Amino acid sequence: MPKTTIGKSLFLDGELSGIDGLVIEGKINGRIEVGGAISVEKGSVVKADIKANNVKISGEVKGNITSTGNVHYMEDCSVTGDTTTSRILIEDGATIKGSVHIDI
Amino acid sequence: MSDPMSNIEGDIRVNGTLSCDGDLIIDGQLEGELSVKGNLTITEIGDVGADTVASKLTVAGKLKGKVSAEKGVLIKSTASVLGPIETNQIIIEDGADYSGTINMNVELPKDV
Repeated sequence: MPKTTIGKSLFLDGELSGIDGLVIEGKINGRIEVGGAISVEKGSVVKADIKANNVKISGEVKGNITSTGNVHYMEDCSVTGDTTTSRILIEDGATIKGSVHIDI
Repeated sequence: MSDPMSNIEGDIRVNGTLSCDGDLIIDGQLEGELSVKGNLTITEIGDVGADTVASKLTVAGKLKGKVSAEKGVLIKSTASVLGPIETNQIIIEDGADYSGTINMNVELPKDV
């Protein structure tokens, strides 16, 4: 499966959408909507609402997260916003500010 | 440069302003504005509709918009480019589709 990488040196102000997966290491302001998995890596700063299948966060996210699969908040992550998903895993050390809705 | 490369690949559409301090490869769709400090490559399946600033630009896919690339532009035979280009060095391969004006920042001799 093709995977787009928004590398460390990249800054996007706008919208990202598509059916494939996405790895974010850089900075994004705007909106993200993908059909595949999204991974926000350590060191990245995302100020955007995220809609995706599986979501894995180890960086910093400000925005609402809506997942059609599972959400994994890693130990170093920082999330400010509401989370809607059907499955969630929050590791020890994760910083979360916002509500979590688990729709089964 | 040890900076890892970025790529826009597959069915991902980007709409907005994208700036990159390193190199960038575009395999997907991008619309908006593009500013790359390193080398920018638009592959055969890449489709870009953006005013583009890069150090060096290689296009094998589609590009529509103003281009400014100080260190050179390479338009491959598979490419389709529409828009004005400002550069110091340019190669357009046989078979490429290009429409626009080219402005090379060179001083012509006075008698030309």
